[in-house]
Parts: sequence; C-alpha cells; structure tokens
Amino acid sequence: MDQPYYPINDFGPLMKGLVIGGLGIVHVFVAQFAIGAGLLMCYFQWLAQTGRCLHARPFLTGYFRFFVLVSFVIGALTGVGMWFTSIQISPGTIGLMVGEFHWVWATEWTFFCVEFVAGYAFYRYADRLTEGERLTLLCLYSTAAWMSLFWINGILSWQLTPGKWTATRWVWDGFFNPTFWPSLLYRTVVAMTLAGLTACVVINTLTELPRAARGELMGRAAQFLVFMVFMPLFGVWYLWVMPEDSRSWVLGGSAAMTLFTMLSVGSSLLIGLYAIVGLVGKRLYINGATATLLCALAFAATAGGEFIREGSRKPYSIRETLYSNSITPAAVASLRQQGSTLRDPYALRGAEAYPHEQLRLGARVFRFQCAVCHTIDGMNGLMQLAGSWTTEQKRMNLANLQNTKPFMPPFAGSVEELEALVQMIEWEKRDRPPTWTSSSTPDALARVRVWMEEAGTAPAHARRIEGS
Amino acid sequence: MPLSATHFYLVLYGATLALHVVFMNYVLGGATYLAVRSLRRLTGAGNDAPDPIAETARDWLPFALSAAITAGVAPLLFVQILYPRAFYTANLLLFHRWMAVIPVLITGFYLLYFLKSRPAERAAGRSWALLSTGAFLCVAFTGLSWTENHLLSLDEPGWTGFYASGSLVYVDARVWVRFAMWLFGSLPTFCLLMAWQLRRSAKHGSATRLAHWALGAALLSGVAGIAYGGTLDEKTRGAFSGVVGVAALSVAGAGWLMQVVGWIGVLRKKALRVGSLGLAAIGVLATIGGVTTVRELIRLRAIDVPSLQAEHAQAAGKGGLWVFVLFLIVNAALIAWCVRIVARRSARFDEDAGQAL
Repeated sequence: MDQPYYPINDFGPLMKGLVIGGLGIVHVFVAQFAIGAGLLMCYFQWLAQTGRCLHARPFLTGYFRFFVLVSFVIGALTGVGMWFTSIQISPGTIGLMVGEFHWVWATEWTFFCVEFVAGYAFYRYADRLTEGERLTLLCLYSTAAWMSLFWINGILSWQLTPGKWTATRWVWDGFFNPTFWPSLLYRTVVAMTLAGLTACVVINTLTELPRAARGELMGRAAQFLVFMVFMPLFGVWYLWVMPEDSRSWVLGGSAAMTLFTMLSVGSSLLIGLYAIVGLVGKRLYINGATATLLCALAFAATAGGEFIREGSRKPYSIRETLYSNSITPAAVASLRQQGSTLRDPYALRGAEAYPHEQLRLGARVFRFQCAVCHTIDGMNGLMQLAGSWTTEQKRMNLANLQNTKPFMPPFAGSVEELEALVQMIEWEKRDRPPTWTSSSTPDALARVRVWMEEAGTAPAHARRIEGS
Repeated sequence: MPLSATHFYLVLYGATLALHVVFMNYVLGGATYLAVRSLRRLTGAGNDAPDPIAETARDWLPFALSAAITAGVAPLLFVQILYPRAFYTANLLLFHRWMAVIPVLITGFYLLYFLKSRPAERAAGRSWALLSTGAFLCVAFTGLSWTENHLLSLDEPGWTGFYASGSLVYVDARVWVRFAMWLFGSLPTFCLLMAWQLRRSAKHGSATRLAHWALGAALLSGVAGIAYGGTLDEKTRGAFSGVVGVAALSVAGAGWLMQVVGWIGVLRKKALRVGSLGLAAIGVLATIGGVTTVRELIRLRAIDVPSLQAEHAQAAGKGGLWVFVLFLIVNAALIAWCVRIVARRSARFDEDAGQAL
C-alpha cells in the first residue's frame, strides 16, 4: 500500500478538529441561512405582488441587502475556506472525497453560478423588474441554493454512512446513502428556521414602519418556524439509520458528544417552543435583542449539530474507508510490519530538543498518527488523556487502542514505534528533561508485540459485529 | 502523450481557469486603478473631475469579486484532481500564511462594498485613498499568495527543506516577477471590460485614459513575461519546443499584439469604437488562453505526470459526468434566461429614462 506523506503542521494548543469545526459551523450557519432566506424572499415577494401584505416590499429590500452582505461575502468565502481548511487538517480525506465526488461537486458549482447570477440580477435590477420577473429571479435563486444543499448533503452524509458504496464503489450508491434524506430534510427545516429568525432581526431595523406593520411582518416570517415541528421526526430518523456505534456516542456513550446532542436539542427546543407558542400562537412581538438572542441559540444548535456530525464518524473520517488520521483500514497491517514513519520525508521540527533518537521517533509517530485529533499538552492533549497511566498501561492501552477507546483507530505502526511513542509521552510528562534514559527492554517490546497481535488490526465496531 | 483522462481534465481546468481569470483581472485591475487614482489625487497629481471609469469600477467591483470567487470554485476542484499532491503540499507548507487569504479577502470584499456606499462617496480624499488602497492591498495579497502557492507547488525538491525551515514565506525572485506579470496583465482586461461598460452607458469620454492604461500595462506585462521566461531553467524551457508549446506562445503573443493594435486604434480615434474594442477583445481571449496553456505546460514539466495518469483515468471513471453535463446545459440556459430578463428590462428602463429627460 502506497501511503502518501504530507507535511503536517502543528496548530499549537489548538486541536485541529476545532479549527475546521469552528469554520465549518460559521459556514454551515451562513449557507443554511442563505438557503432559507431564498425561500423566505420568494414567499414575501408573493405576498407583495398579490397584495396580501402591504409592507412585504420594504422588508424584502432591507432583507435582501442584509442577505447579500452576509451570504455573498461570508458564505462564499468561508465555503472556499472550508476547502483550504480541509486540506490543512486532512489532505487524504479531502483528496478521496474529491476523487470520488468531483462530478457531484462540479454539478453543485453549476448551481452556484445560477445562485450568483439570479441573486445579483435581483440585487442590481429589482427596482426595474415587473412583479413576475422579480418572483422568477427569486425562485431561480432559491431553487439553485436548495439544490446546492442537495448535492453537498450527499457527500457529507456519505462520510458517516457510505451505505452500499463500500461494496459497489458506485458514486450514486454513496450519494443516496442511508442518512441522505433525513439529513437533507432536517437541514431544510434548519434553513427555514434561520431565515425566519434573521427576518425578525431585520424587521426590527425597519424603524420607518409602524409597530403594527412590523408585527404583521413578524407573524408572516414566523410561519417559517412552524416547520420546526418536523425536526424531532427527521432527527430520530437520522439517529435510527446511523451506525450503531456512532449512535451510542451521541446517546450517552461519550460525555462530550452527548453534551453536544443536548446543546443542539435543547437550543432547538427552546427556539421551537418560543416560536410556535409565542410568535405563532400568541402573536407576540419580539424586539431586536430577543430576535438576536434566538439567532444565537440557533447558532449554538448548529454548532452542536455539526460537532455531532463530525464526532459521530470516529474513528473514521470516511466510514470504513479512511481513519481520522488518513490511514486506510487496509494499510494498518502493512504499516505494523514496515513502520509508519520510515518513508516520511519531512524532518521533525525542533528535533534538537529531543535527547535521543527514540524520542524523535516517538514525536514523528505522534505527528503522523495522532496530531490530527490530539495535541501534546493542549486541547485533547495526550498528557491529560494518557499522562497518568503507568508505562506498562501506556504500552498495553496503545497496543490495544481501538478497544481501549472504541472511537480510536487501531495503532498503525511497528512495535518499536509504539514503544517510542510511549517513551515520548513519558518524557513530555516529566517536562522534557535534557537527558533521558529509556525504559525500553526486549521483554517490554515482546509484550507489546503480543498485545498488538491480540488486538488485531480491525476497529472496535468490527470486532463487536464478529462477536455478535 | 496520447489523448487521455489527463488531457480531459486539463481542458476542463484550463477552460474554467480562463473564465475565473477574466473576472479576477477585472477585480485586480479595477482595484489597482482605484488605488492609483485616489493616491494621485491625494498627492495633487490627479484632477478632481468626475471619472466615469472610477465610478463604474466602484459600482461593479463587488459583483466582479463575487463572480471571480464563484468562477474560481471549478478550477479549484479540477486542480485537486490533476495535481493533488503538489497542490495539497504547497497549501500545507504555506500554512497560516496561505489560510490568511480568506480573512484578507473577506476584508477586501467589505471594503469594496463600503466604497460603493454613501458614506464612502462623501469621504474626504485621504479616507478614500485609505479605503481604496486597503481594498487593493487585500486583493493583491491574495494574488501574491496564489503566485507563491503555485511556484512552491512546482518546487518539489525544495519541499522538505522548506518544511524543516519552518518558514511560511516562499522566498524566490520568480514570485515577484510572476506576480508583476499577472498584476500588469490584469489591467488590459479590466480596461477592455470597462470600455464595453462605458460604451453601453454612452460615457465615451474616458477612451484615451483607458487606452493609456491598457497600453502601458500591456507593455509592462510583456516585459515581466519575458523576464519570467528568463528565470526558467533549461528543462522547463523545453516545454516550448513542442508543437503545443510553440502554438500556445504564438497565440499568447498574437493576442498581446492584437490588444496593442486595438488600443492604438482607440487612442487614434479617441473613441470606443466596436472595431478596435473587438480586436482587443479577441486579443485578450487569445492571450488568456495562450498564457493558461503555457502555465500548464510549465507545470507538466515540473510534475511527474506519468505517475498521475492512472489516478486521472481512475477519477474519470467515477460516475456523475453526465449529470454534470446535463446540469451544465440546463443551468447555462437558466443563467441566459436571467440575463435576458435583466437586459430586456434594463434597456426598456434606459429608453424610458431617455424619453423622460
């Protein structure tokens, strides 16, 4: 197996997952807002042209200006930023995704172009167009925006549930995977919710309108929030078709993942209750501060949802195809034979700080196999996770890594590399002393070898399936 | 090399890149024009008379940047199919320095929008100069970063040393020469598109200024292009000895010449006539097409293409091509429909406005 080696960067105390997660949340939030906003603007244009709402027109003008400044700038550029960040975090993963789905991405691009042209045509010429032409442009925009969600949703949901693709390798088997529909429908409702909430913020800025008019507009915008009643249904559907082990992380198996689930569900529930009981049921008027607070809650719900999506794939970045550290399941056995760092052409930065070669090897192993999710002493740091273990515990737990922590991939290196990693953790734990006496012995290496053989190369969930 | 999946992706990449370059040139050229003009006015070198070029650029630059970003998605996709290892490695080596293009471009984007706003219209000369220079610097930084990324991606023997050094800046004289070629080369495209815009809005008064800018920039980009060619080693220059290399260089050179002749025509007639602009337009297209081809020929010399051909063939076998083709056609028709709606209504609006006056 020809394992590609890329230069790996050190993000300092910041965990790489947080970097892509942080940008991803902003991008997803803005992109979903743009999709919902398209639908909302179509609705308000229809209200305006049919005379159902006298103030729909000034709202539409104000909302579109806000929309262009947020979506066309932040949405577009964070989208490109997502690509660049994905490369920084895991070139292997993004390379595989592009290789498999580039025609889907290219198709999505043709919809971006429609979005862009229809959106800008409306932005520049709306005041010159007939009502029918305005509605046409907005419908084209929102259809294209929703279609871009349709295409990217297939690729993202494939990462967690590749479905029949694992066997057939046919792109459409991967695209229309088990979580495709629940994910698409859930995201569509989220998009409509974000549009409704941001509309409430914008309506509050239209101070030239009397309060009664703003209240009427708010009532109309709140209709988009009613669709939140379907969220539990789509959410449960999504959980139902998830792989069993992934579902278990989200529903109590992992404290962090469960907290994110609760954050997402709790925030959505609060928004939904407020929107349906208050805004729709009692026709409450909400001021700008409350509307902004609801948007912030929606952002928290999005953040929770995206962390669930990213985290529940563990130990994979692409289920059953690529581990989080870009090593394929098939390569683990050969990397155990050959070693994982032997062919890595990139020198260790700051190598002179390590007192001897074994520690340098350990640092290279950490860089290649662990650094994508862990730091040494920062976020998700090895010192916090494994620093307190005894030397023997470190050896045994790392050799049996996928069973020690089922969301971890199996160790994919030689016995000597594992021992070097253990020594490196010990050395770091003792504050990097200038001299170091290795505790490695032939007996210790022999024990590690036995443990690694016992653990095998299969991930934990595969062993459970075999066992059952 | 027989025709293969590699050629197929190269054509797709080249075509989509050329489209991106047209919009990118408008942004880079337009931002340069606005910055130079505002700085000249600040130092007393320019006059305070209304400038339709600056007004139009100010109005259209955010749109052009949006268009450049949208059009840039496709070549960004195909470059990952064609040269994944080189592209990813260069991205990773430049690290924060490379990732900085996103916040910088967001800042530049908002500065361009702000330049369109009423507060910016009322802003004093110094504030205006600050805003427009800021926007230019943001756009230029992005261009410089792409140049650095591209040249580093070709320098495979230097990758491990670059990584070991911990540097985030690729120091190479070629970066500046190449960037100068792009920067000056963007201006004739900007001037040409601006000429068509001003022609349509019947503001012909700026013909001479546009011609001066286009001719000056074409000359400087030609000099920078020759200087860049001089920095290439013997092996890379071999790219121009084949039929494709000679043809691409000839097309680029002929395009450059057509632009010069077209703009001289504008200068002589002091008017934005269709004939001269048409010749310059063909010249711009030929130059962009030729230069894009030359760019890839140079890259193909630096990269181990045979080892990638199997990967390209494998990628081409993935499903979805016909879905892409179908939606490309459908969506191109929808885009044409949008443009038609706007163009028809806009023409009628201008007609009515004319009658009202």
